[in-house]
Amino acid sequence: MKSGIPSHPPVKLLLVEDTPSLQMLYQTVLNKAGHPSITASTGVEALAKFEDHRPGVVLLDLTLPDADGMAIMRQMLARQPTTRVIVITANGSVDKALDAIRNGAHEYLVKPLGDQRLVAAVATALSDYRTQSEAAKALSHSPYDLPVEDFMGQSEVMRHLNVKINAVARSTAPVFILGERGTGKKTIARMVHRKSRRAAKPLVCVNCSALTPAELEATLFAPPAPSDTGISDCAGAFYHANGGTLVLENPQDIHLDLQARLVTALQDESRIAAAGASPAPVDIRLICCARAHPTEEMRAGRLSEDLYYRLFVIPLTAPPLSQRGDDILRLALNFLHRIGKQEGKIFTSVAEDAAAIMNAHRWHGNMRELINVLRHAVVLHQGPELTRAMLPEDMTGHAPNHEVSGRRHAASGGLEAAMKGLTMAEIEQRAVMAAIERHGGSIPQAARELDIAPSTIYRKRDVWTKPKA
Amino acid sequence: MIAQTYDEKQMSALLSLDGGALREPLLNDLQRCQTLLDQTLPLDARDSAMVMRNALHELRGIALTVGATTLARHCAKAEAFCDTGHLAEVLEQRAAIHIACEDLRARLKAFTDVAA
Repeated sequence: MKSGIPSHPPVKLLLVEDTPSLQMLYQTVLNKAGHPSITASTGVEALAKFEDHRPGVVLLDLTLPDADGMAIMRQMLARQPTTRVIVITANGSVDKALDAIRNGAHEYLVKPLGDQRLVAAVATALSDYRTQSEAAKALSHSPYDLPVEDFMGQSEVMRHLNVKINAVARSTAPVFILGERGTGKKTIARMVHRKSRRAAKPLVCVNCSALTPAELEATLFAPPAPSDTGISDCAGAFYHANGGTLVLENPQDIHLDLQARLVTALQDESRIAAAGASPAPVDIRLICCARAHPTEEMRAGRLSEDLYYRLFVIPLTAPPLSQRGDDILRLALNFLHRIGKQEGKIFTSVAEDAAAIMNAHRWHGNMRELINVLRHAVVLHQGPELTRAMLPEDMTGHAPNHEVSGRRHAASGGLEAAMKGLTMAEIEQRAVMAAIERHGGSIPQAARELDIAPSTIYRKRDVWTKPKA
Repeated sequence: MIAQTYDEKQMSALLSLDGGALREPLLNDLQRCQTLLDQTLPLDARDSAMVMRNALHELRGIALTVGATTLARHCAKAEAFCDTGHLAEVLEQRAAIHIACEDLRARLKAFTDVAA
């Protein structure tokens, strides 16, 4: 399969008007002003086209033959809060206008719509939408952070996930996102936030396994300085996320004492109190991300039962890359384009044989592995096509290239004999201790190699070194 | 015969747009709305009243857009009567709306002829 570089289309405009002559009129006027539009004549058609095209601006007649325009607008904004909806009506009452604005309308136009007024309203809404989209893109921390539309792809499994995300975004209930490493759990958390009513408020992420208990307590709960009028930099995540969303990665790695404090904070309607300070109310929506299933973590005693029931309310699963069908190639093209740009090379397509190998690969590291494979290809080769020869040899089934895949083959070869007769726990212990030794005793470096949290190694090592009763 | 008032400037601008391409669609929509209004009986049935109200609203939108001031006013009154359940008054307005629609259709056709 050969595909071109994915391009980002201009902001789409959806025009919803049931009277054909008026629909034609508005479309003609907007076309002349350089704003082509997609059209719909009923509420059902409007919602279907909204789903398909995700327009940045919607021009919506409030009276539709099959639905109340206000309800349609609410559904659209629940799906994509950044969309700007301009409502059109023949009813010029102030009450109706206020009602529309309260329900999230960007602007309210009363018939007859003058050409200039219509074009100006659409231009303002388009510009407003673009500004917000650019601001959202600027929030991306990694050059590999894809726009969510590109990340989601078009596979069946991701379409199902998207439906769930849309439903979850409307709620304020805690969400728990589960998934293998590199499946985009944080991106999904960002999507839930962006589609929620809290989209304009902060999104704060805390990796609970990267910090010591004291650091994590300060990161979560440190109060704002008393003299501050706003939120100081040293204030905790609960304060920074006030009104918005707090994402906790790996909550099972929170020390049990701190888990108890988190439970108190959550059951007290998020009234957070630092030691010696009076509780201050905060309004946050909590999202957790983890590879480990919280039920197993609770059974193993790493996650308190109280916290488990407060966090594990609505589960979402980030599907592994191997379940995403053609999305693999779509993502590959996107990443090839981005990595190529960074490396000063142009990659525009994937050859059929390379595509077949990529589709059949298991992708244990999911998107991270995909990115590594593509980076390797881009750095060592010239474009514009990614061919089979550019893929690592352990993927293509050729003789092992030790530079690239030595680790994997060693694991499947030499270790196989060494592991014979050992229990799973013993194999794990040996693998971890060997990694620590390879990194000269550095637990953080060993953890990085094994792609687990340092706290997991500390915890396991404590168990291994404790004298057995 | 009640005199019908129009915003001539608005109508002229609209009908001149895109080489008069809007005239036929406007005539079709007027005909469709009129048919709906005529067929919507009995009015006391809830569904019929709703169809009538929607047709009146659509007709008002068209009237406002083309600058048919009298038709828009009649439609607004009838819509309000629909909302308050004054069905006899709705029927009275319907007769006036019918006349105003016919007048507007004649105007649109005449405009077509002149343009042609």
